[in-house]
Amino acid sequence: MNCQEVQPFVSALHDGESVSRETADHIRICSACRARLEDYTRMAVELRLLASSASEEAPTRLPHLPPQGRRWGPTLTARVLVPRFALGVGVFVILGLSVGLGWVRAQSGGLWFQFDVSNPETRAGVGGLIQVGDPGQGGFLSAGPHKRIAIRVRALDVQNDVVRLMVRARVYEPVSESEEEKVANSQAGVVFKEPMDRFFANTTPREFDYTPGQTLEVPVEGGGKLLLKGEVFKLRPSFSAESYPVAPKPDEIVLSKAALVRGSEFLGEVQGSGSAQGKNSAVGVCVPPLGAFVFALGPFEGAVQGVVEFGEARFKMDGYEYTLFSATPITGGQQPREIWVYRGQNCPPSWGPAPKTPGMIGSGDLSNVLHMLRK
Amino acid sequence: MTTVEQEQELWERLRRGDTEAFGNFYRQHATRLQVFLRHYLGDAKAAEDVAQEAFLQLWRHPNGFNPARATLRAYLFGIAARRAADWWRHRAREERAAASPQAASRTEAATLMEDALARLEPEPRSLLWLREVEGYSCAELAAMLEIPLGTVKSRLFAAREQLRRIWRGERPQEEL
Repeated sequence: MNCQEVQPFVSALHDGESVSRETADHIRICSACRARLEDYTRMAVELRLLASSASEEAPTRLPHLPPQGRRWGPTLTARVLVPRFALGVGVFVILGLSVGLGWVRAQSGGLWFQFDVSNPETRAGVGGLIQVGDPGQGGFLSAGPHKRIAIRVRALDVQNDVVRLMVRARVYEPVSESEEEKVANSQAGVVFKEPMDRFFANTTPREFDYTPGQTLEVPVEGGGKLLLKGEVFKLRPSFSAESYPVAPKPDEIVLSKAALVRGSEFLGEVQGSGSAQGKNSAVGVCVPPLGAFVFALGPFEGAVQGVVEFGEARFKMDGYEYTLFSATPITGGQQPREIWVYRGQNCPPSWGPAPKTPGMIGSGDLSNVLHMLRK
Repeated sequence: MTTVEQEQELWERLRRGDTEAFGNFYRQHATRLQVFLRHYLGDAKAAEDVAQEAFLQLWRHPNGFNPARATLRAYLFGIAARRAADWWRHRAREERAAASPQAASRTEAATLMEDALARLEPEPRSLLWLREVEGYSCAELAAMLEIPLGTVKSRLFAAREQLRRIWRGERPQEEL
């Protein structure tokens, strides 16, 4: 990489984002890029100093308040929060096939397509991030009580703000009994790339000319449909603000594009997102090579107590101080508040012997999440 | 400390026409908003007018706010940024020139930065201010300004580069 290619990432780095290893290596050794980064920092400080001196001035008068505009009343305009996951009623859990999908290094010049897929019958939804032109070897599986639907999305190219999409969607039929058992016995789990490749090989691809922002109806082989909505980005977006509530309930726990730090060591960004609401709600993540972490809003055996404050949770474990960052508030209610964290030595066996990238294990009732660790 | 529930409650109170809640909200944010607008517009009087218009819009039409997308404060700054952009579009160049920022007694470094900032185009100037001074994340800025997240990042990068070129050019040689 040269300086010109790296420049936008210097700005992103200044904004607190992580960059690819290749980019980081360049910035580390390039005096010009480091000078740019230092200038950005100094400029920010000067701007804040400028604002600080001006902020001491007295506030201005309150304007005269006219009658408020015509409103249709709270009944018609009240926002209703619909539970994204129908916990305890059905098994509407998103199975994120994190392996491969979305875990692509940022490359200069490449466009990104971020999308949400939802099942209108179950209201289950999942978000995805792919690079335009990437083969898109990942897939998603939406599970419900009646049927499971698998979908794979590729963004072939973008021309005149229209995205050429290739989508495969079919009612999911496991290719082996062991795989069926793996899916049927768990509320959430990971289906690996290999069986999904086999599955999608027998699924007819459909191409769509998609205008970002609109809702695309994707027919599903075997019956039903999925709704897809997405946007194109020039740089890799850090998270989808619309995917998870910015104002979670006090009994709701949400991890959205989370990242885990131990001391000053960045352990990785967790692929996928998850939320759960209700008594004993919990989320589980796998962070190789440390194992599995379960976060819950109530105490449970083997867990240590930590503190959560909006998008940040801090806890001590095994002599280390950990910090978990999430792109949206982790829970609601008065902050800071308590959170309990448990670490299992291993990620679930279904993840294979040596998983490499952090990912969501699942979310839901604590007992179910703990059960997932053993699958 | 403002919790997400308090934010929701404040919005509900504004929707019900609670003048006390609005007054508190105004006193909490009016000064910062005017400082932002003064740098955006380069005109103290216009900044005051636009700030008042933004507050009044929030008061008259509180239902335009979506608590799932941003905070009330971010929504207010978003309204103000859009109104300020309108102000720039509708003012004659002569008026803008006549209304250049008043020089205040500041340190040399502050004056250099202030001058450099004033030489930026209004939109990159406001974007940088909202990011670096007000501390809004790129995602919040995307929601606030109703532009894609990728656009926010690319514009931020361009704004930083513009400001850097101006700022470095104005600094004394020995500091470079």
